[in-house]
Amino acid sequence: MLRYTLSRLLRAVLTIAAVVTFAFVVLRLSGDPALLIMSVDAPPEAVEAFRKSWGLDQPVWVQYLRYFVQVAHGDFGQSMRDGRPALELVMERVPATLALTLPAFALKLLLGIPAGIYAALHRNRLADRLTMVVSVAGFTVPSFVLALLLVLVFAVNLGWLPSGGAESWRHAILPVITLGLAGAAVLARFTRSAMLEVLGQPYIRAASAKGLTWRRVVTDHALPNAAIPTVTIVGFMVGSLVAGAVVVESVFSWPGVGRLLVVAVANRDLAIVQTILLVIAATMVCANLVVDMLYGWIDPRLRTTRAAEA
Amino acid sequence: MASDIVAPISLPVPAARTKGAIRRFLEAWPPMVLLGLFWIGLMLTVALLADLITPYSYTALDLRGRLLPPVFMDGSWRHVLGSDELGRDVLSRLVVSIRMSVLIAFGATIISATLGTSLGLLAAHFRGRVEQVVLALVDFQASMPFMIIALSVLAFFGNALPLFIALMGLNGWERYTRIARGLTIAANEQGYANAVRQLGAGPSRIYGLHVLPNIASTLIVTMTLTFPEIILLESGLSFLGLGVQPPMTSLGNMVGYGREYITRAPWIMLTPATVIVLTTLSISLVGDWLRDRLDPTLR
Amino acid sequence: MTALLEADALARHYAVRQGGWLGHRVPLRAVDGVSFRLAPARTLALVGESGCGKTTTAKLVLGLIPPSAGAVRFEGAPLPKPNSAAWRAARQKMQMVYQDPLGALDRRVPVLHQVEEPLAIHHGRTSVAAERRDRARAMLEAVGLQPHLAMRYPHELSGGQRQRVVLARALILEPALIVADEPVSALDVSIQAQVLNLFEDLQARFGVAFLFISHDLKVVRQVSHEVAVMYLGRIVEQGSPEALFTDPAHPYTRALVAAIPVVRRHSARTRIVLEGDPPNPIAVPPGCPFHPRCPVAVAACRAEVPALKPLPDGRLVACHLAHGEAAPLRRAA
Repeated sequence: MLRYTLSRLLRAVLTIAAVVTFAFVVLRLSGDPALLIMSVDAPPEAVEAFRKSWGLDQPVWVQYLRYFVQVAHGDFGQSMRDGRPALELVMERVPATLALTLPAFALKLLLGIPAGIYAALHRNRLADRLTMVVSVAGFTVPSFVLALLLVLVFAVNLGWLPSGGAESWRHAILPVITLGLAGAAVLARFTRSAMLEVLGQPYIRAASAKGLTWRRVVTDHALPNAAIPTVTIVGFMVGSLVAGAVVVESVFSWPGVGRLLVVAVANRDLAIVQTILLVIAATMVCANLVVDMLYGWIDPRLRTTRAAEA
Repeated sequence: MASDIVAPISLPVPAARTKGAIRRFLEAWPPMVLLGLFWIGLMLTVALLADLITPYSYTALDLRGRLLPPVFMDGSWRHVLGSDELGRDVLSRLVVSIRMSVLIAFGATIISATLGTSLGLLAAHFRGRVEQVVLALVDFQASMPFMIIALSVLAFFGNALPLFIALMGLNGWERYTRIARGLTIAANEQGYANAVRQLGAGPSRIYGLHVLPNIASTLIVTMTLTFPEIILLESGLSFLGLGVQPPMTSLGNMVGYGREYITRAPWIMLTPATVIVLTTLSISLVGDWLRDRLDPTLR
Repeated sequence: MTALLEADALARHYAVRQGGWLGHRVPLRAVDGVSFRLAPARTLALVGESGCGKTTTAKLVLGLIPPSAGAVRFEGAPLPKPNSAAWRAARQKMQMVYQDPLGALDRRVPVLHQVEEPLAIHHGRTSVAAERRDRARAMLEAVGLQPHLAMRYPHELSGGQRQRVVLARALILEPALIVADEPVSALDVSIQAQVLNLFEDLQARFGVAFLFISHDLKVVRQVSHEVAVMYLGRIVEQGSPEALFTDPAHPYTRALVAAIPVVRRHSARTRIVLEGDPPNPIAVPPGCPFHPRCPVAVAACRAEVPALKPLPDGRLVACHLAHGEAAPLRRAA
C-alpha cells in the first residue's frame, strides 16, 4: 500500500509540474509577457521594472526556475483590470464556486447512482428504459441550453425562481440543478453498465444458488464490486463539474471562479487565467489522488498485490 | 464451419413473408437509429448545400422586420423560422451555423483521431522511452478538464478560426491513443502482427495492411463518441463569446445572442438549441448501435 | 554433413529487479548453456516443463533475441541482427509456428491471402498476384485443406484446419527450418494425431527440418528423430526417442516418462513423484540444477555441475550418477 501511495504522489507532483511548465511555455509563446501581464497603458519604466523583477532578461531556463519559485510563493502577477494580486482575486471567488459545485456533486451522486442501480436491477423493463432515455437527454443537452430552458420555464414563465445573481440561497437552486443533472445522467448510465457487468458474473449466480435472498446478493456482492469502477469515474466527474461551472456561472451571473475565468479570457487578462489554470490543476490533481487512494483501498486485489510485492 | 447441409425448403405465405421481412428489417435497423441516421444525413446535406438553400444571406439586415415570430407562431412565410433582433433571417443563419459547426466538428474529429492513433501506434511500436513520454502526455491530457485547457489557450493565443479548429482537435486524442496502443501491443506480442513480422514483413506492411484495418472499427466508434463532445464544447465556447466570432456564426453563437431575447423572442435561441440537441442525440444513438454491432465485446 | 542449425553454449540471461522499484537485480537464467546440432530434414524435439527455457531457446535460434553468451549458426553463418533487413530476408529460410493458430492469423483476411502473403512480401516485385494465388492454393492442398475453404476467414475454420493454414503459410517459401512451439497443444487429441502425421508428410515432401517444442512426451515420441530434455535452461538428456522412453538415464527424464498415463489393465508402472520446489530460473540451485528434487541425489550433485556427456550407447546425459562418477546411496531396504 505504501508503494502504491508513493507512486501516486509522485505522479501527482509530476502532473502539477507539467501544468506549471505548460503555463510557462504558453505564456512565453504568446508574446512578451511583460506587455501581456501589465496593462496596455503602463508607463515604460514600470514595464522595465516588471521585466527585471520577473527576470525576463535572463536565459530561458533561469526564467523557468524563477517562475517555479514564484508560483511556489503564490505570486502569479497582477490582474490587468484592477491591479490586485491575481491569486487574491481568484481565491476570494472560490467560496462562491464551492457553494455551487459541492451541492451539485452531492446531487449527482444522490440522483445518478441510485438511478443507475435501479435501472440495472430492472433491466429492460419500463423503469430501465425510462431512466436511460432521460439520462441520454442528460448528456446530449448542453449545459447552457439546459440552463436557459430552466430559466425560461421557472424564472420567466412561472416566476418561481430568480434568473440571475447571487443574493439569496434561492438564487442557487437553478444553477445547482443545472450542474447536477447533466452529471447525474452520465453517472446513471455508467453505474448501470457497471452493475450489469457485475450481475453477469458467475459469482453472482453462485451467491444466489447458495440460497441468499436476492436482496442480500445485491447488497453484499453486487454493489461492493460495482463500486470499484464507479469510484474511478468520480474523479472524472470533478473535472466535468469544473468545466460545467464555467458555463453555468456565466449563464446565471454567479460571481464564482468560472465566471471570472470567462471574463479574464475575453479581456486577455493573462495573470488571472494563469492563476485559475494552476489552481484548477492543483484541485484536479488532489481529487485524482484521493480517487486513486480510495480505489487502492477499495479494490482488495490491489491491496494484496501490494502487500505481496512489499 | 464448413457445412453442406441444404437449408430446409419452406413454402412461405405471401402476407406472413412481408410481415416477417419488415420485422427482420426493424430488428437489424432499430427505428431510433434510423431516425438518427436520417437526421445526420439531413445535417450533412444542409452543411454541404448551405449556400444554395439559404433564402437570404445570413448577414442581410431587415430593420423593419425585427424579432418576427416563426411561421407556426403567427409569423409569415417571409421568415420561416422568424427573424432576430437585427432582422436577420433565423433560418438562413441556422443553415450557415450548421455548416460551421459541422465543419469544425469534422475537422477537429479527424485531427484528434489522426493525432491520437499515430501516437498510440508509435508508443506501441517503439515501447521504452517513447512509450513513457506518450503515456505521460496522455495522463496530463486526461487529468485536466479540456474546457479549462481550451480556455487558457484561447486566452493566450486568441481565437482565429484555424487555431480554434486545431484546438478543438486536441479534445479527446488521448482516447484514441489508449485504444490504439492497447490493441497494437496485443497484436504485436501474441497476435497476428507478430506473426506477420515473423514472415519478414516490414513495419509499413504490418501497420498499414494489418493493424489499422483491425483497429479501425474501434476507432470509428470512438469517433462517434468524441464528435458530439466537440459540438458541445464548441457551442459552449461560442455561447460564451469565446469561440466562433462574428460576423461568422455557429450554433452556440446563435444561442448566445438569443439569450437576451429569451422572453420576447425565444425562437432565436430555441431553434439552434434544438438542432444541437438533436444532432448530438443522433450521433450518440448511432454510435451506440455501431458499437453493439461491430464488437459486442467492447464495453 | 554440415548441420543446418548449430547452437553453441547458448545462454540468455535477463536482469530482473526483485522486490519492486528499489529492489536488487538478480539474473534470470532462462537459457544456461544449450548446445545442439540439427541436420537438414530431421526433427529435434525440445521437451520440458513450463519455465525450462524451451521458448527462449526457440527465439534465440530464430534470431528473435540476441544471446547473452554463445552463438547460433544457421547454414554455417551467424544470424543477422533482429528486425534488420538481412534478418527479414533470412525469414525465407526459417519460420515459426505457434501454439495459437487463431491469434497468429488476421481475422479480417481470407486464409488464402494469408498463405500467399509471404510470397507477396519476399517476391512481391518478381511475381504476379495470380501466380502467387495458384501457389498458395497448391500449398493449401498439400497440407490437406479442402479447396472450398480457401476463401474462408480464420474464425470460420476449426482448430485443426487453422493449424494447417499456419503450416501452409510457414512452408510456402520452402524454408529449411521450421520451429514449432507447442503446435498441437491447443488441439483435440484426435486432431493432434492428424496434424502430427502432417508434419511427417511435409518433412518427407519438402525436406524441411523441425525444431519441435512441447511439454507433451507422447506427442514428441511420434514425430522426432532426436529428443532433448530441458530443465532450468539446460539440456539434461538427449537421444533417440526410443532410447529415452524405454530406458531413461537421467532421473528427471525417468520421472517424466513414469508420469505418462497408460491404459493398461494391470499397471506395473510405478509413479515417481518429485518433491521439492518447482524450478525457478531466478534461483538456480548450485551444482546440478535438479538436485533439490532428485530422488537419488548425492553430495557430489550439490557440489559440481554435471556436464552433458555421451553414454556408451551414444546418448547424452548430464548426471553424475548416470556416468558412474558418484556412487548412489544405498537405500535402506
